[in-house]
Amino acid sequence: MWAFWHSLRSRVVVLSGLWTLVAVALLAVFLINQYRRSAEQGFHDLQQAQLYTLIAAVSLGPNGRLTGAPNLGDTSFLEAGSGWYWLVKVIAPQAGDVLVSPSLGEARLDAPSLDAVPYEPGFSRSFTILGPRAERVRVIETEVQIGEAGEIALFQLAGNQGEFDAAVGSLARNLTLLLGMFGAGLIGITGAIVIFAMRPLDDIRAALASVQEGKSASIDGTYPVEIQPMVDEMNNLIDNNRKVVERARTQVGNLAHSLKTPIAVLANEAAAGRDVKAELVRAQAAAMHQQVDHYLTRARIAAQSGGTAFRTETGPVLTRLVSVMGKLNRHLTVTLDIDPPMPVFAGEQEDIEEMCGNLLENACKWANSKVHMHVAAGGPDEPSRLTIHVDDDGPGIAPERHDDALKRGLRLDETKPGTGLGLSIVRETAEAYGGTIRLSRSPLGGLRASLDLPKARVA
Amino acid sequence: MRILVVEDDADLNRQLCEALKEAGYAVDSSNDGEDAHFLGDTEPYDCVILDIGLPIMDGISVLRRWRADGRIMPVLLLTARDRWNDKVSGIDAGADDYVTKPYHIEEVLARVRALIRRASGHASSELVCGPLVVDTRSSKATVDGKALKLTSHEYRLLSYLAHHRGEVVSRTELTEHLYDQDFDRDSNTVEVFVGRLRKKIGLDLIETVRGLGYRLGGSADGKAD
Repeated sequence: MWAFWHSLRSRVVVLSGLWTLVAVALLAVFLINQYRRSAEQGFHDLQQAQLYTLIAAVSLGPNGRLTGAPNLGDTSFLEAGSGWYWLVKVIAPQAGDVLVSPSLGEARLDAPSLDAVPYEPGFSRSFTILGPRAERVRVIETEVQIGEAGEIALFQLAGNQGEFDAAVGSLARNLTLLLGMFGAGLIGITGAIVIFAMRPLDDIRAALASVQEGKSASIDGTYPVEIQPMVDEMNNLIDNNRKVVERARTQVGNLAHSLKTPIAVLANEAAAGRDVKAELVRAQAAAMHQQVDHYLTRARIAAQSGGTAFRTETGPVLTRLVSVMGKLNRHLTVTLDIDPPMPVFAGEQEDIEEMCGNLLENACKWANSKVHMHVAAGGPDEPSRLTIHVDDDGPGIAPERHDDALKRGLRLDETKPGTGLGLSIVRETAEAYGGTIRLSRSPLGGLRASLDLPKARVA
Repeated sequence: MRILVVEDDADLNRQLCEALKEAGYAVDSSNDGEDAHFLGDTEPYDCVILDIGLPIMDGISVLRRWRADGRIMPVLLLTARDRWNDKVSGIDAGADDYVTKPYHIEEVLARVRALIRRASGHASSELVCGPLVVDTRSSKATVDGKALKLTSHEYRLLSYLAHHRGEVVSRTELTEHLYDQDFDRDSNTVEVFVGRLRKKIGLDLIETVRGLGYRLGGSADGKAD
């Protein structure tokens, strides 16, 4: 729910949807009530008019009998059980004469008592009852003096309430359907507008992912005027971030550079001495060397982990490294083969150079005649990985010491770059990328170092 | 053997020069790129130790200009930046090897020896000329296993001839490779050193090629030619 509410799309669609539902419902209730009221008034006026016509059309003869043939303008009064009836009855101590519409026949309307529905001023009242066929009828009745001798007759006129209700119900249904369709359309249109309006944000997200993967250097493209300033600011931020990382890296490099020369001077000056002080200077110079190397690596890894991701094509970088190692070690055959298609390392060129350069340097140091580097993309199970094997035909390392060789790098005080296997930098750099380094026996007879690293997606 | 040390840090420069002199090399030094380029372009060095970070002109640029001008002496790069890109750029620019600071002087000496040996086509650190063996690691020479007592100039001359065994080496060439820049050169002293060496070796291994110079004979399998 929290995540749902944090979506702008969801917020806009839900709020506009709710408002549309409420508005459409209120509109429907209002319109139906208005119609009902108007229809009721019309029904009442019609019955009133029919009643007056009936009163005018019926008279009392001298013999006390009711006469007249009222035509109320509706054939429903002729159709039996139509729900449209009229009745005129002389009110007399003995049963007076009765005149009824053909539709009522022998049936009578069961009026409620005067206590239940009293006469309104003007001696008329109206009520709804069940008709002869159990249909709902609305009756309007009045008592009128009809005879010259003061005889009074009861006039009843009934209209079919069911027909009225059906007409109002039909309108309510049609109106609800139409308004429902209108509301649904409105919600749909709102959703479509929101999706369309939000599309530039999706484009920005894709562009940022592209920057993150190193496929592009900035957020490219043109965006709506409301969003373009934000994109410009983001591009400035990306650019600034890159400059800060580069500057930090340069500063660390410069610091290391400026420290290494004095360390070399101290170490060399103490190298000739045999006394305790010379030994102390040698040890401290060596410790400083280790610290500089360690923090240089740390700084590089920290700069890489917080910044923008990069892509490095393995082919050109490794070909150059292998060529250089071949030039430096002319007594060795240093070869490289890369499985097609050439895997792209999801990281910085400097880091893959650091890892592979150190592994190649180690291999060349121990090899008798051959060093081979093999780059392979991860199998179907691991499509986002790449593996780099560095093999040599040197003496190798006993399997039980493989872990020790790798562990040494973890503990600074035991790491001796340049004197031991120097795998600490390789291991730390690989781990910063979520990768690993493994040692095993090489098919060439010596040591095999295998680097597992993340592979970039094909652009 | 004559070496050029190019390093802008005065202490490190001094240390390298002292260690190289002690190992029997004639050593010139420079502390900026422009001066180093001029020396490398005009003097015949057997090896150059070149720092990358130099004032006026950086080491890689100096190296590129030397190579572009056809100067092929072996160059050992000194780099404080252990970024592989720097090393690779250095090798691509024409360096023959690199050493990362901070380094042990012994490591630099070993690399220099290997580079000089490689440049003259020798695989071993022991140069064998018949019964004469010149050990470039210890800067010592033996004849039939007996050590020769040589001064540094005598060793330098013998080592240069041994590196170019079978080739005629002129007096001028010898003078250029035996003395550093500041030495008051006199080609007659070469004859004096050759005379002394012949006496100490006791065999007629150093042949005088009239009008051309000297040639060290002897085969690599231990027999005199």
